[in-house]
Amino acid sequence: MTKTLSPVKEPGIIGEKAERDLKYVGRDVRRVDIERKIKGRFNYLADLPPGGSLHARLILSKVANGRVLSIDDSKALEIPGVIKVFTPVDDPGVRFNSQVSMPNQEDFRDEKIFTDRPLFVGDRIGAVLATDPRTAQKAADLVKVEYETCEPVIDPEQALSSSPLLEGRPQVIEGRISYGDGEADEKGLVAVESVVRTPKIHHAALENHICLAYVDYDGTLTVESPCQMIFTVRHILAQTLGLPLNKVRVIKAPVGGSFGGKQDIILEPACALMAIETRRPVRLAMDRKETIIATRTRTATIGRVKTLARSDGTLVFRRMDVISDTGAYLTGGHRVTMAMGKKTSRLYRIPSQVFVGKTTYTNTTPSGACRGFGSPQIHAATEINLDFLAKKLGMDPALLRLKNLVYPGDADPTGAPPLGNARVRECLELGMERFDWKRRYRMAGGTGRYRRGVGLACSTHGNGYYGTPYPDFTGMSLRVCEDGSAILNAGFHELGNGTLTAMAQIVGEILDIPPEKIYVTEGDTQHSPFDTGCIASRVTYVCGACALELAEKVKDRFIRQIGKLYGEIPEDIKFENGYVYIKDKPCSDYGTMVIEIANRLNEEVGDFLTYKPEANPASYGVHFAEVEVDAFTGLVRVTDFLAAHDVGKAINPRMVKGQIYGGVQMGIGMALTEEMIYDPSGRPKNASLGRYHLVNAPDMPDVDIILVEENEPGGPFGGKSIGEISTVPTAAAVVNAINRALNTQLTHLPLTPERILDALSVFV
Amino acid sequence: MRARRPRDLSELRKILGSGKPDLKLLAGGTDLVVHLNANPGEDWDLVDLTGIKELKRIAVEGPFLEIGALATFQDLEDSQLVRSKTACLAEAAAMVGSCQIRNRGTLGGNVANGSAAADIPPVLCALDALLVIESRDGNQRTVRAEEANPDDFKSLAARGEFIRKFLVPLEERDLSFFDKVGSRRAVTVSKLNLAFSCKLQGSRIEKPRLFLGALAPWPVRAVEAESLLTSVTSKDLAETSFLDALSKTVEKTIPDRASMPYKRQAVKGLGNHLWANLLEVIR
Amino acid sequence: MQIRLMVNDRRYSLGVDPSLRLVDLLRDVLGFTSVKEGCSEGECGACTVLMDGKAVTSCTIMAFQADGSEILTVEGLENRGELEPIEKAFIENDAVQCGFCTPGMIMSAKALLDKKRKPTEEDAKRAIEGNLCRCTGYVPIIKSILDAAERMEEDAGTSS
Repeated sequence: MTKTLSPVKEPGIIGEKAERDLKYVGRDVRRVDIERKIKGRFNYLADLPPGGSLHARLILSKVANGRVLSIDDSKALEIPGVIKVFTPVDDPGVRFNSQVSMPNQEDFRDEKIFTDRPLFVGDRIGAVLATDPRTAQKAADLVKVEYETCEPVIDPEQALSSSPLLEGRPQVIEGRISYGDGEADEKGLVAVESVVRTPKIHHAALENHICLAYVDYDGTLTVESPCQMIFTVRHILAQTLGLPLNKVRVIKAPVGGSFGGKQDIILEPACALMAIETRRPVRLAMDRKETIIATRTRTATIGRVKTLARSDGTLVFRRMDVISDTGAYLTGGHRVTMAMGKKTSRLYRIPSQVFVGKTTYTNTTPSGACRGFGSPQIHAATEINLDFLAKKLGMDPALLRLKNLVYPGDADPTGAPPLGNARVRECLELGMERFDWKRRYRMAGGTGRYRRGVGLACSTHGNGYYGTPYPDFTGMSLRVCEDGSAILNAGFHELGNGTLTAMAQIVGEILDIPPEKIYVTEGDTQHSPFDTGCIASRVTYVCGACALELAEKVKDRFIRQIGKLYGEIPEDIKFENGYVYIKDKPCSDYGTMVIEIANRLNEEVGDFLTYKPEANPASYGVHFAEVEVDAFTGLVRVTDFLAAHDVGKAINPRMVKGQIYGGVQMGIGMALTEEMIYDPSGRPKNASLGRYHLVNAPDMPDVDIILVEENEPGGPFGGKSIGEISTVPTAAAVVNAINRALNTQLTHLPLTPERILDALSVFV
Repeated sequence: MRARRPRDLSELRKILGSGKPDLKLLAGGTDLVVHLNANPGEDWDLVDLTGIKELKRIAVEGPFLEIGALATFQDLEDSQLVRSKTACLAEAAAMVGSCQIRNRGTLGGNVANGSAAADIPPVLCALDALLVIESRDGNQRTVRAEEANPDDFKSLAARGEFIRKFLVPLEERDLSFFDKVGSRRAVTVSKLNLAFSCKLQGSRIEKPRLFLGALAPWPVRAVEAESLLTSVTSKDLAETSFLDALSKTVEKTIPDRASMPYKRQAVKGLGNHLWANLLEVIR
Repeated sequence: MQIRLMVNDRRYSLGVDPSLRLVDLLRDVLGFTSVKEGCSEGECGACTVLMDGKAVTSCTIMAFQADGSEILTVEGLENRGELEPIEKAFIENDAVQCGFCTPGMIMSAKALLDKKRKPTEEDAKRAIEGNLCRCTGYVPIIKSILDAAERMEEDAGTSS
């Protein structure tokens, strides 16, 4: 029952080249940096010899809500090696928002570099600058800060009605997305209402936050940061420090994992301020505890969902009210809230929906970008609700999904960009078969000590910013060198997700150069054309498409240059494996041709392209989980897992699978163990990896993967995103499996052993 | 900060003899080193025990299996002697932390740290082990594990004392068992743990020693459950009564703790596992 | 304090501050930056090295405690020519994404492979239970360890 698609520009499809002729794309090409990482030669910022750098340690607020009355740094200054103690007095007085990338964006600027009005435990009061990290740490511990404290607000529901935590900043931001005729008369319909709570989550990249700043020999402020948006870093630095944009250089440093945690601009302004002030290079590094409490978290949510359906399972209406706890500062908090709403019209054909999102503040670690940007949370709320509906209807949850899932080519009823080649049905159907869903679903539950159950969840996520208020475009240059190697120059941000490799594959495919011979640059604001950043799941779909189109442009130009040199027509010029063939006879290798073109035509072999997407299709994923719950201890084992993903085209299947494994690990943690906990005074209680538990190897199930590759128009070779959606449906699938195993209606994530036993005692 | 690494027991006794109040004994370091790194302003006189070979000795001495205080969890897991003669000690050691932690963490450290959640103390109690504490002048005193006071351990170094070794009686045990409940299956601090040993006379359970840990500062004996095991033959006893008796011990020990409702139920999981083992041995 | 130890098959005689940790000695003094610091509390395993053949978290060991010991890091493994089967397995299974956990994983794997020639999947999971990864979900790493064991068997000329 597939609908045909309306034609969309398809730069990804090469007319003559059939699927089986693809040489690099679609192959498990080795990562460009894997050898260095294995050998321990891949240097992250903390691995570089400090040279003449000074080392900074932040002074973080010990109170969740208060005012700094006095700071006594006398003891700190006595320690040899201490250069300076920075305090709120040193703050330039410009408030910023850690996600704002352009001046016209209206998100409330509420953050300062150093504040005397801390709003959470971990807020930046100041910093100590010293000759080595240990001295800086010792000295920071000796700085005595006297606070006047106010009652903190920890609970988001309480936060909705509390007076503003920051003077002049409205305590609640409300947004609404709706379409259709509104709530139907419930008569004759089945109604299910539920409230799902998702926790504050620590990104837990293995590398802690770190930054390096110095003023270069020509007076340019240079900041090296493991970031995801060099141009946003530049904007905020220029804004807070009052510098011209073209004299602020941001270089993307190697990243030891980010998952959105390094997407917000957190350390850079403080680091830069100290470097400018002292005219010395400054390295600002955080330890794990600081990274947990003083950077960003995933937004915690309370999602109330009410669904109306006919008795045959057809969805009629859905209303979602989400409370989003963005912590002490706004950051991109309300964007996350509204991003949640935007997903709800792209998964099922529901005639009418209302989404109301309320973003509010608490005196806790600010939330920010985190893998999925709201999608895991809203899918938890809605997919768990849908399973409750299935239960009420006496229907198999998979069949309930099939009754309502979107079809390829569907429009988005809110007017957002069309869904594109939406293959979520294939994901579900193929997944059901491979997972032996029907048989396993029937066998669920029991009353013994160990109870098994299966669950599933469907999900959707985007491919960039097209159709949103935010700019999405990129620029790249590509040139072939005198030795036949190539350089793709663009503002990429490799996070370990395989970007550099994938781009090399795409370019290599078009130019017929092996990916190892293509160097793909990373972001440097002085040298990279503008790129929106490694965010919003845009890199494969948007940047990949740009790289492909640019490679074709360069190939085209190269052919015409050769034609000019040899007096041949383009049709008679072919490339194969780094060699130029004229009229099917080998002529010369690329490199030699580049030299000839330089000498005889005075031209480079290369070109530049700016690119903007004209679509924002949806990516889809369906996750299936089998769990075994110990009814005595409440411990849950995920015993089996299947992830089926609609990826359009896997540029590098092995890397795509890697993203899925990692996403599943993160999602299982969200379902079972991960939660940042605060005591009533707002102090974090589990700011260490010994207390904040990630899924470890023994707890990770085998993960079976199905990749549905049906080509997404607009994507490079038909490819679209996987990086975020890989973690979107996971938690919901696990929770649904547990509820099936236990015959419960658990909705408060994570489902810790305590919460599980608590639910079971009702049934005892 | 000052640090010394005595090469043998006489050097250690000499250091302890100086009677400095800020002496800190360092063994596995998984707690102390982390603490020192987080508090660079603190100054201590560190005494590293890991170089003293005599403290790592595992051997049979008369009626006891002697285990030095610096034997690591991995040493216990690997030791043929420990596995064959005091099985639940090897099992408990194998369940502590991760490989890296087991390679450094020590028996003595686990006990002396005074953490209520420690896994070794209940095992020592179940095995009716003795702790041998030595002083700077070479004198030794023994403390029965069941009667030990964890507060005693915290001030050992200041008094010029250290845990020298553990003596585990080599009596016939038909079952020796350990299990724990944490927040996940592997690499977790215990929320609750259980150690058990007993003899069997036909199908009669004799000399049951059942201890629950991670409840109180030191393991508590599950008297109700034990008495159930000896009062009737195993054939008549219903598992549910046994599990309920365990719950009662939890309720009695930590009546006002927030975690009591959870632990009261979770203990049944440990009991259920023990029960299955008991039935197997009886048959 | 003066200490003497072997690191990556080279003898060192060094004066170290009592407060220096082994991880700091290896990274900052000796320059073996393959050893990463992720949590400073022995929980994440990124700082794992072999000490006298045993996997340990170097952030929970004082430098002076390594007096008389032999320490091995990934750099040393490579120098000995013993990295290859593990490296090949990691590459073939794409067991590396951001790479931060990788050296620690490799040392834990090495510790296992030295002890067990034919580890099971359970053995492999247990060997890395103290090594956290946020990128790969462990799946390709476990596969790599099993593949590396097979490779080493083949290299040794023993049929598997």
